[in-house]
Amino acid sequence: MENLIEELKKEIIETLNLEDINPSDIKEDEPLFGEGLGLDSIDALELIVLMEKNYGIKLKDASEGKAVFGSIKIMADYIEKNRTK
Amino acid sequence: MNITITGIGTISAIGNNCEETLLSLKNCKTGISKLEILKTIHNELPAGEVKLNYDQLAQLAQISDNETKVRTPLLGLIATREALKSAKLENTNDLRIAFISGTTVGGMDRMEQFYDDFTHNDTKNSFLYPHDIGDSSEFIADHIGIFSYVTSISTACSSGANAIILGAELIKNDRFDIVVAGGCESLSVYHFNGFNSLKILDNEICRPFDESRAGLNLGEGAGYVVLESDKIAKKRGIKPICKLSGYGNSCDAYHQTATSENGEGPYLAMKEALKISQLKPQEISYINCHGTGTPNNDLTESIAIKRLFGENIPPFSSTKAYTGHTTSASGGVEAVISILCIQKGFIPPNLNFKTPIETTGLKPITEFKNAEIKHVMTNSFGFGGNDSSLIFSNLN
Amino acid sequence: MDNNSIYINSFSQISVQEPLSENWTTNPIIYQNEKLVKIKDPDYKEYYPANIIRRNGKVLRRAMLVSQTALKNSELTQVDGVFTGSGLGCVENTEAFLQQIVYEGEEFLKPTYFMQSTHNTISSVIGIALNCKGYNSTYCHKGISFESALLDAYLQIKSGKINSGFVCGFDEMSNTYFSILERAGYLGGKSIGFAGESSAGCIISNKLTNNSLCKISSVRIGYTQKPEEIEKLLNQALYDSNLTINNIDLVMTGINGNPENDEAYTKNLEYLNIRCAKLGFAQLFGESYSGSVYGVYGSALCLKKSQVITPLKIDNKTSEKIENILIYRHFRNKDHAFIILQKC
Repeated sequence: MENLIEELKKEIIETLNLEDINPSDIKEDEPLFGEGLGLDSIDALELIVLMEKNYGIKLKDASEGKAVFGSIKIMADYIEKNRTK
Repeated sequence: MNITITGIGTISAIGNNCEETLLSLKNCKTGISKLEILKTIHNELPAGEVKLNYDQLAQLAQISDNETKVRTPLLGLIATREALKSAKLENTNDLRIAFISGTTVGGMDRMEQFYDDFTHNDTKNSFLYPHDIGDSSEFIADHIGIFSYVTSISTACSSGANAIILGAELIKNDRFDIVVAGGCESLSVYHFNGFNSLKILDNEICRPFDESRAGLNLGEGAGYVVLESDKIAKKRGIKPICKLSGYGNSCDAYHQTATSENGEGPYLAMKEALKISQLKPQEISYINCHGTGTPNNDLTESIAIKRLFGENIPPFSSTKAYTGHTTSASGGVEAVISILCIQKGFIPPNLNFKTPIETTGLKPITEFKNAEIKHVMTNSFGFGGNDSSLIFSNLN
Repeated sequence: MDNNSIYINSFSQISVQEPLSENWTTNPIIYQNEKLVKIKDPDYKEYYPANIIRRNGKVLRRAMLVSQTALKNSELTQVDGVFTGSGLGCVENTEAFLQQIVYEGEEFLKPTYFMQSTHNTISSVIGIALNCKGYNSTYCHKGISFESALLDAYLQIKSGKINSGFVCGFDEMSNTYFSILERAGYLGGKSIGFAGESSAGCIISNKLTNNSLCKISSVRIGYTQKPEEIEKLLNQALYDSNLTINNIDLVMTGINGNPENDEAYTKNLEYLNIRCAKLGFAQLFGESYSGSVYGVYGSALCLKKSQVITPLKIDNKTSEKIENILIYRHFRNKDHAFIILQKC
């Protein structure tokens, strides 16, 4: 689980081009959207692609993603349970 | 000076010309279906596809067999020829005529087919020219051969409408006597996937303004109008179909894909169009909405309409469930549909509508209606917040 | 028509010369034997928080900075419209998305690439950067993209519809797209000049300010291959400006080292009886579809300084006075644009 969280942090920083953010800046329980990292709807679409490409998880749309992308920890939990690769 | 419309031409999934388009609208017949021409893995997504291959389009466009065939300009040429024919523009001596075309896809169909060859070898050089937007417009212009100014506009899904606005300005400022303006756009694997990556394509036929709407269906086609001052039309002995009485272009300046929550850009565009037309909101007989069927567009367009029209909202509908969203061509295609509404006196119903959007409660026209249409407003909103609105009026 | 005069109030550029600076007028960077030279970007993080620009590709970062700098230097606080010329739009993102489709298939595509690949993204980002909710349009027509945008803005100010606008030219060039243009014979090849990118824009308005560079007295564009039609176009431009051909002190051209391109200039200038000293922008800034924005920029600076900026010169002729500059741009000898700038 710890490894997955670290891996996810790195992937998110790379995918969303968060140049000025280090993995340690992303708190496990902090919200990714709105406050916290301040991500928006386009980032949600990018994360949906990331989930599908790297973990074989298909999310239907951004609204389904909203719950899954609550925080890094929630995201990691969801991946652990549903990953197909 | 009145800017009149003396000719129209269109092609889309609901018809290869104005007559067929009119028939489909009267019969409430959608053109959205399973893809047959475009090759993509996303076959589950329906689209408003023109069911003609390159050779069939080339034949309709009357180009010779040995020419390079690119889908967008072929669609454009077909509609331009029809518009010119209906405007009886045969003797063009001494007339200053411009061609303004809106597109975004341009030659992307060929680019995606031969990209690897174009960048690495000479095997597909017979298809090689740069395939940019300007090429599409010049291809059309060169086959017609009467234009002394050609330019291209690309403001995503409002390109066609903005071409018409520029056309009007060129005539008002006495730069040209006649302007042929509109837009053309073919389906491409590129933007099919682009819209799909934004998760805004519905896998059923779209339901504009319905609470359950889940996205748009892409379409393709072209629509062009012939604009000229009433003075020139009179001199040529042509009876205009109607006039372009107002137009507005505004930028939402909010977000690169989403519209602001209060629909500021759409509101400002419609307001500007009304101002130029000197009409009161209640004088609008019908609004042909942008109404793509995406949750964001239909909600913000509804909010903007409510802001502008208050309690007296004119009859409105979206024709996207017939043609699909023809993106850059939509401003042209829907201008032609709106002009047909004035010419033939009807309102096309909004297909697949059941339940109003909860927060706005607006109900579009859902049954075919014969009615005298004096003033029709037609909206085109592009992502990036490029919002435009046109008003066509009858000549009485 | 009315007598509204139109002024260029400010110009801003990022280019292969030193960005946001006029150092090139005295100390130009000279590029030799290079086919394609890309813009020297400043460090955008010095201007914007990383989070604001993280998603924006290069051309969009340039558009933000160039537009805001131009507005800041113009003595205006707001413009009424944004008019963008871009022959190819956001080519790098277009290509990134296309390459994903062609080489990796239609799954797992990056939405950001697509979202920022449409041609109007540049103008939309400028609308946001200048907080301008007014008119906003993008012209994509080969070598006259910038001129088309300028014509639209010019007519709207002239007719009193608006008072001011930001008019700009932006094009970026990728290595692979360059190879396509080279294969098609548009750029590179036997050329002696170099292909480049463009990123520059000006604030124009009906207000004369202390910073104003010059007056724009005419914009005329035509589509023709007949010399007599080109001449007609030029005569209209001269008529708009109350001038005869003998009043033209300098002609700014799009001569760029491509033999076919340059030969058409030589022939047409001769036919048009234009014998004054010639200037060029391509030897300094490179050629691109909207590259002629640098030609207008260089000409406007000459008028402001009342002197010929030496690096722009492409012949040995001299001029006694510098009051009227004709800018002539053609594209493949089919599209022709004339702009006349006058001292204000």
